[in-house]
Amino acid sequence: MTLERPVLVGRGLTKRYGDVTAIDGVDIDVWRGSSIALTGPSGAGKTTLLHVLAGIIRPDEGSVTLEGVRIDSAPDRERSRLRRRHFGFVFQEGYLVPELTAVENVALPLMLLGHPKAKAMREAYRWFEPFGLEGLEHRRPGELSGGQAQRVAIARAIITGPSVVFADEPTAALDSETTHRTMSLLESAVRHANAGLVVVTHDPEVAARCDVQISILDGRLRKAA
Amino acid sequence: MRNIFSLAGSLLRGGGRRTVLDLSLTVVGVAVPVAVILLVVGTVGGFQERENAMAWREPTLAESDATALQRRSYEPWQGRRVDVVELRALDGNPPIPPGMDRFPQEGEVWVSPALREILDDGSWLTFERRVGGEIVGVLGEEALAYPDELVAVVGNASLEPTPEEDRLPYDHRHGGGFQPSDVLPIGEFAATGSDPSLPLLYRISAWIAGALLVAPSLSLLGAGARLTAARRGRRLAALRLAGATSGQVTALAALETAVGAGIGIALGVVVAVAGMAVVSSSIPLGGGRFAFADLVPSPLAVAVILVGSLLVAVAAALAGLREVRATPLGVVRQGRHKSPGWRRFFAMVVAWAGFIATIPFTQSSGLYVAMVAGLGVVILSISTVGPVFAWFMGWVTTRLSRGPRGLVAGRRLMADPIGSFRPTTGLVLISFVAGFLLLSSATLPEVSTDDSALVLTTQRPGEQVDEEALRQRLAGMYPDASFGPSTYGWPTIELPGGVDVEAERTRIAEATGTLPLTEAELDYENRLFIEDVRRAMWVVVAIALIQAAFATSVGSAASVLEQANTLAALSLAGTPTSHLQGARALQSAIPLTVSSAVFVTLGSAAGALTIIGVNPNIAIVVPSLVQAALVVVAAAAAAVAGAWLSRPVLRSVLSQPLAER
Repeated sequence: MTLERPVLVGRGLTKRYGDVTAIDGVDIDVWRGSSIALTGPSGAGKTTLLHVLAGIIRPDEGSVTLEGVRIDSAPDRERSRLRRRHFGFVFQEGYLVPELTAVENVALPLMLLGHPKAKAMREAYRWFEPFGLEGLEHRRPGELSGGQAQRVAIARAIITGPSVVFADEPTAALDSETTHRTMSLLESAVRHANAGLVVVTHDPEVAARCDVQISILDGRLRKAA
Repeated sequence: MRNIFSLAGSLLRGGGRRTVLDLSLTVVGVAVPVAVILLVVGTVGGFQERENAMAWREPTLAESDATALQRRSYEPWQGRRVDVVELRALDGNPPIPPGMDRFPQEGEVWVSPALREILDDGSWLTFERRVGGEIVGVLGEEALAYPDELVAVVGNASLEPTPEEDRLPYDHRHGGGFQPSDVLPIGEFAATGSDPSLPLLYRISAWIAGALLVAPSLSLLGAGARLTAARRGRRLAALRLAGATSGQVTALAALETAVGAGIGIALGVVVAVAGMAVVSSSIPLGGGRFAFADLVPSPLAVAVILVGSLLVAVAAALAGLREVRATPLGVVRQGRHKSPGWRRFFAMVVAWAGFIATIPFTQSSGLYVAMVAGLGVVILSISTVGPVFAWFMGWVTTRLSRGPRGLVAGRRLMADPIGSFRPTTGLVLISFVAGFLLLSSATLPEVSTDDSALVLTTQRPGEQVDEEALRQRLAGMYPDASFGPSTYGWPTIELPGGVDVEAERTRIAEATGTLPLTEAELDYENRLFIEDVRRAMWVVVAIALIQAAFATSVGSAASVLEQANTLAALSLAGTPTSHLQGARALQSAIPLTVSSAVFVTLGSAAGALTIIGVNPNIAIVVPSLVQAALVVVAAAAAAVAGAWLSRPVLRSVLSQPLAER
């Protein structure tokens, strides 16, 4: 891995909810082609850090820069645009749009970026074979297994060629075998896209697969590996 | 059972803002229909009260021993109509009329308070001359149908019973609304009765307005409770997984809904009372304002409405929980919605066939309630067939969409056509109501408002007038007057300006034996009815729109809550709120626009059939396409507005971190 500078940089990130400090002066770098695991007990501040890095919420203090451009102070509309264009997301339950077919779910981010529907659908179909989803293109999320739905969610996260993929407990609802297959696919897809990966997880095995493991306790980074 | 109560209490107390929001949806969904139903039933009852209150004025032929003679007639007075009851005692024990302390003697006149007030301007002498008596008393409220009614009771010793062979059926004397009744021997005054003219027409109209309003109310009532119940489904499913039986989950859901419905019912009663106060103080119908007490439904009717609303709300909530009760995993499963069966179309066809069948039956039997019930079933069938339109439009939209808004909206319509149509049911029903009213309004005859000339009418239908003799006599009385062409076969005279019309009308009546009326007065009953129908039309549409606005925003808010996680995840991934909002607005607007166009047409058809049922001789006039198109546009705009109104709920959902859901 020869990398010149991190794609996403957080410096002195602090976020408070009333009297509770969710994250406290966190510094973190995300590199292209590299993965970071954020671990820690419930309420430690993992998801808050992920949301601050992704521009979903603004930090009270500190800064977030994406490829040298500060995003934490950008207006909400601009941060939404940045998320669409530069970030991919994978959630615990996939949160696919239940009414859309699998292929339409994958095509959705491209359509949101303004691509014509036909072109977006053509691009989306391409992801099904490498992701082991061939034949499932026209199924609804409710007709997919947990692992299949999560693979569709990964395809949806990666289809726009993001700079960073954020995964919040992506395997929490899966068995160990499916967890292994899903993480392999996620890592492979992120590497293929030359994106950074930030994974929030409770699972030590998932964390161990990542290049960097960061433990958070009471909003502070405790160790890095 | 105590545990269930305790658990329900804990769930309600511990639910926080979300439970408050759920409860609010149920409260609004119940309160508005309860208020509307109470108002409709109260107004229908108010017209029945009026019929009963004025029943004594219509002479009822005594079967055996007659004690008095009675005639009812109407006197035109300053553009209004005075109900005049003439009485003559036949023996020493005649019945005492309501609102009076004794039977009137020859030449005595009792007047209602409102008439007395009008006559205080000095015209009382003219009035006394007109009716042939002297005002000696004021009628009590027992004699009146409504507070500002104009009524006079006159003691007239010259009355002689109309020979049996000359008596006319009631209907024959109500063409212009001023022909007197026959003089009939009576034993007692009627205490209750059904007036076969104007009040009956009003009661039929009130029932029709009720059918048009109550059906959307029931739909809203069910929707509010069902949607919030579906929202609670996940929590109740968790209870099922924890070992709660189907019965316990049912009891919990019923208790929770009952609490919301109870608050909604209380609020609905308050709104209804306020509505009754507004109607009684500011909306004249049938010639005058209602007394507040006349609009209050009977205790039995109130009990039936309130308990019925509670039961409908609970039943609807339980219907929404069928899947949770059947299997604990029911609500977790996605993609479970089925496309609507074509049986729904069949249900609508059956409803229409039933309604059409009531038309000849109503015409032959005079049982208008059958036709109104048929109309009600047709309206209820709209919510049955609506999802078919929603599914079809979803199919079309998905295929034609080029962007994410149309794709998501189309797919949602196809995936859950019943849920998609539910929030817009009220607006589609309004389209039906508007179509019905547009045709009714276009078909209503134009009435004259011309009061420039007096038409010299005869007292008995078919009686011939010697026009030339009349002209000669009147030319002697009014050298400056001009005579106009005949109207309705009667000659007309235009008096010089500045004369006291009531005084001259009295002189002409005395001199010629005719009843001089303006054209506007000749059309009195029609004008009154048509003006009231047009006024009531706006009231009905306004109430229906308010209901629809509530239904759409309640439905829209509830669907946001149902899809909270998906919407939030899409937003986190950078989907602009405008896209999410746009898809939701399209999801409402697309089926609504198509359904509105269809149901405006069907509403017009139902209006035509109803009018034919009431009077087969009226020529039906089709409303203009522009008006119909305006209704469709207004309904679509209201759907978008309804989705827009629920934006705070969407913002609230999007601002809540996924982890906290």
